Amino acid sequence: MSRKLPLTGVRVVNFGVGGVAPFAASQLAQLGATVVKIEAPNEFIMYTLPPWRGLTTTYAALNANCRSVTLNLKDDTDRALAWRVVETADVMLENFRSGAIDRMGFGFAVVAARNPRIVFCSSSGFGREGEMAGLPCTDPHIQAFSGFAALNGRSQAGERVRYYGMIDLYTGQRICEAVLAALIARQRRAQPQYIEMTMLGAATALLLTQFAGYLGSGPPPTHRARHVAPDGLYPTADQPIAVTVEDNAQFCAFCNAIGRDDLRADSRFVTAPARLANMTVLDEEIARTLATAPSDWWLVTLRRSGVPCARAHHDHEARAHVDMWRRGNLREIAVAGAGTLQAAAPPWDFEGIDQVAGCAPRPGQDTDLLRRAADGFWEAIEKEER
Amino acid sequence: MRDGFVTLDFLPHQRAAWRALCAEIGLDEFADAVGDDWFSTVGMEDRIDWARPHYERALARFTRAEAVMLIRRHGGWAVPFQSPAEVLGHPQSLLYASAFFGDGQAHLRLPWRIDGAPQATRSYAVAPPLGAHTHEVLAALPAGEAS
Repeated sequence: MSRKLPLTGVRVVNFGVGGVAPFAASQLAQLGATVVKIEAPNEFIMYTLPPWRGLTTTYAALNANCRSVTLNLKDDTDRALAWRVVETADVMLENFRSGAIDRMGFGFAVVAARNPRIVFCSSSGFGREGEMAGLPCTDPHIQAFSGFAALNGRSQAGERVRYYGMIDLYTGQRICEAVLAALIARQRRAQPQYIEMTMLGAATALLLTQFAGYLGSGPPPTHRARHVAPDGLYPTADQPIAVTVEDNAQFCAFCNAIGRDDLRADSRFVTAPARLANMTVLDEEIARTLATAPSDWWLVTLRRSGVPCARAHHDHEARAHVDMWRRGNLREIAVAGAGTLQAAAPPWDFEGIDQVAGCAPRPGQDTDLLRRAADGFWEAIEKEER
Repeated sequence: MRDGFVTLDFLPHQRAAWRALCAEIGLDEFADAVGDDWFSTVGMEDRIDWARPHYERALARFTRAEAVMLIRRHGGWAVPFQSPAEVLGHPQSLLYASAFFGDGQAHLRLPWRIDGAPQATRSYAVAPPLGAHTHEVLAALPAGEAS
């Protein structure tokens, strides 16, 4: 008998919109769960992000390996169909503004009354309590509010968010983690489980190492804060490389490799705290030296010396890199009627178990199946996925 | 803003609300100039760098708190850009952040609530020194497994 992915047989219904809940649901799908997305009437990702063959690449990537049904939840027939899915699910996810899912009639209390096995996760930007409860939030807003932008954004043109979607995806990953824990808890305690996740909670968790010194009575962190020096991107004769030197032995090896033994004898750089205190001067010295040879030369030289370093790839270079494909970090996702696109693969491998094949739904593609066979809907799609 | 920056966001169906905000802050001509392409000057699109100085000039007389209230009054989405000190002491952080200052102390907790109750917090403390619990762990092992 072949082994199966760990969440095989777990049924997830996702009322989510945008990035957070869909990404969490997609992660659960790639762990083997069967996931059905009830399309939201305000699925703004379908309208605001670059279009691709009738949908958007972001929609396809965020909803990989999920199924999709479109229902009008103001219509009694469609509401009854939605309940058929919800009543027989193990997990329900939603990330509307706080309280919206209650007003739609699918809040935790009513769902738990009809499905006492449910693991129910609500996610929002700022939670259900307090002066900011119910405020809308997407990734750039939480980057700004949480301090992420102040610590990681570019400062030359004012405060800037760094990358659109990072905290969305991180929050989705933490939802996935909480749901897995709740599924284990359900085995011991046969009760419905209610999880409340916030992007504020996830973002501040993501920043914990940057906050750590401050929380421990140190000075507030700044965007220039580093834990070691040298550490960062350095220009070479052709393109930048990343270099990190973690201790004195590595610093000696680094100085020797770049032909700058004078730096390790310099009192400003002789200890790790001294290097941090004088990192601006140290960076200038290193940049001047690395600019004398191309990146390939330095990468070979530094790797021979055991100094952590890497080429700073552009995204098209990273995407084409042989290790990306050899290790399975990227894969093709098939979208019905639209062809394939490249997207990130699950970062895990379970020994002896094949990954689920990459695919993504067109919005509403499984609606007819639900209308035809509501009683056996889950079984029908599980059969298709086998 | 006089004291920093804020976010500014309107959804695709909120063009009228965005125009009303522009009118109130003296950006009528700008709103006319961008026309149907208005959303690309608000969202994370290429034209935001072109539009940014217009918004910044128009909002320069406000504080972050004033600008956030103004944008929200028009139905837009806005929050202040905060420093680490501001976020860790914010009242909303006391309710939901994974790290926050409360009662004069730093606290940590998991980012989720279960069944409505905040996860237990613990006061911030530095990690144990390397090997601090070696003897305690070895002593707890069955005889013969500690060698």
